[in-house]
Amino acid sequence: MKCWPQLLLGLVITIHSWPVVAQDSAEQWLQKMVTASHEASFKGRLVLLSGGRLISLAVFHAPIQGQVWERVVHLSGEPAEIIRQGDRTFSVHRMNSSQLSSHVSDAAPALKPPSGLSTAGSPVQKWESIQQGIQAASRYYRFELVGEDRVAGRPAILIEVEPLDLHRYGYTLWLDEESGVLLRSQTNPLKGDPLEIFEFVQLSLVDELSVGDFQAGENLKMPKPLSRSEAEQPLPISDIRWQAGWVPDGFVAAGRAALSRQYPTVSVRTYSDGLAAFTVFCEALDAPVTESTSSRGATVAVNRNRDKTLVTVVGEIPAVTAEKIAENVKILAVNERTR
Amino acid sequence: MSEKGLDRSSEELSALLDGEISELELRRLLKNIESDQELCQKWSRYQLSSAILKGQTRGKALEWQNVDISARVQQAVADEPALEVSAKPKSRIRSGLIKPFANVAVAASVSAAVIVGWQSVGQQPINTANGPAPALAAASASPGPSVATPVSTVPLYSGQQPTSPRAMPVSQNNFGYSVLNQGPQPEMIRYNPDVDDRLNYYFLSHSGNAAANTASSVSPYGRVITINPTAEEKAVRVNLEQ
Repeated sequence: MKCWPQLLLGLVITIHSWPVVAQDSAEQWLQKMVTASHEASFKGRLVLLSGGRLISLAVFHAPIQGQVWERVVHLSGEPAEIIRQGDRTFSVHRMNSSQLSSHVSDAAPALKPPSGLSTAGSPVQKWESIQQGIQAASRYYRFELVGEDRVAGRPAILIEVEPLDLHRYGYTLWLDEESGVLLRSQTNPLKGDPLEIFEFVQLSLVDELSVGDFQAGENLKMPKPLSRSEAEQPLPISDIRWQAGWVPDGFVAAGRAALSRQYPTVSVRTYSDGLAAFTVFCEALDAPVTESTSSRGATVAVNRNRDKTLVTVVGEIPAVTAEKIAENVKILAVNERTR
Repeated sequence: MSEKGLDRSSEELSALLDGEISELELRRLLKNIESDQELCQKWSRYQLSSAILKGQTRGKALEWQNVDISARVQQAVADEPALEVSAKPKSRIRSGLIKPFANVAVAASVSAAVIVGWQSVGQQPINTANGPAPALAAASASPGPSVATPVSTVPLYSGQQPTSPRAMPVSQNNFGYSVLNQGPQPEMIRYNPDVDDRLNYYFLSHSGNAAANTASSVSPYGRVITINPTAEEKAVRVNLEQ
């Protein structure tokens, strides 16, 4: 039996590779986290400490019909849920429920040839997937496997993510050792206490969640589904053409952005470096508004008036960076709106 | 007022600032402060020094030193529909508190902003060459609103917060936020219906984008505090009427 040694060898390798799982590099663990965020099926409860407020949430997460479905239920305060079914996102309340759909962003040059908009000079390119994002991110962050910990009663791997410049925050991440699911995360500014902490207090990896788990709870109204003809109608394209004059290195435009039919005239573009993201909104306004910089936990929002356009940058980035981005937006064309 | 009386008032003023004032002292102080310009200015100075100590002035302390918002507040009070305090005999204890409280609320309406939601970490005057800001339209009834004043009025009030939690109603409710530790101290929280509704929509949109484009997908949605504007307005009103 000549194949025995090979089998044995295979066995030895298998045994040897077993403990290596725990010795994966920080990058490998992050990769695992990314995979889990697409493929893992779980439900649980978590707390979010953001901007001095503690929020408790129930979360359902599963790949359904080939897309990520997610339901986040606010357990305290006014009943509210965020339900994401692949490309569609519903914000559900007792009143005023709304729907956003993810659409090909008008910024995605690879997918939609620009009309009158020259993206050639734009400092950004589009990246295909978050997988590449982690690799790309390693140029802007330093990842370090710090050790092991326990979160929600589960063994967790602790990873420190340190930014290499001042345009992004650092993170401390706790990943579930079994699944790679992000169990706890801290968003750390350059100095001082974390801006935002979220932590699962209970997590069950469940084999299968059904469509029924992603329906709004009692007393909450899902927005009326669009009729077929409405749904097939393309979203009106914003009449604003603009270009980001400056974004921090490593932030690239995502191909899709969440839009609402209620705000068809807003031009939306999202940039991400794989870990952090910001979204730029441009909207034609008749009169300028008060320019402001506001924050909510790790999220900052900056308003700037530019050529009869309100430029708003919202993202988990330092305020100074967001201001610089907003101030460097170049409005190329604003068409007169027909009302 | 006799010197002794003024001393006592000063003590009470410090107590108010420290949040250690008793109900009785507060009433007496409020009664005195109405008629006593010196006491009024002292309060203003206390607040200013408190703001400086907390680093909230961002180098604007000198500008604020001589800000007199009382005239604008009075104007706004005059414009404001009367609060039906007397119709609620049960809330007698609260009615003693309603004065500073109502003033804060009215001062907020002077700057055309009710406090909700986003915390401002800085504000820039708009480019007035392009016309008046819609955000200030509501303030046009009050004399001479300038964009810079809302910011400057704030520290005078922010010190009141520990004194009576009701004094800053909205920052105490579900929609108020404060920054843990983020660079410059936030100066005020303001709600501007025009801007904030848009901002909340932007925020939701951004959360969706962040969830789809970053490695950690759950947290972006956790951040979304879905705000129902009508509920907010109600909360503000309820607080006012209490």
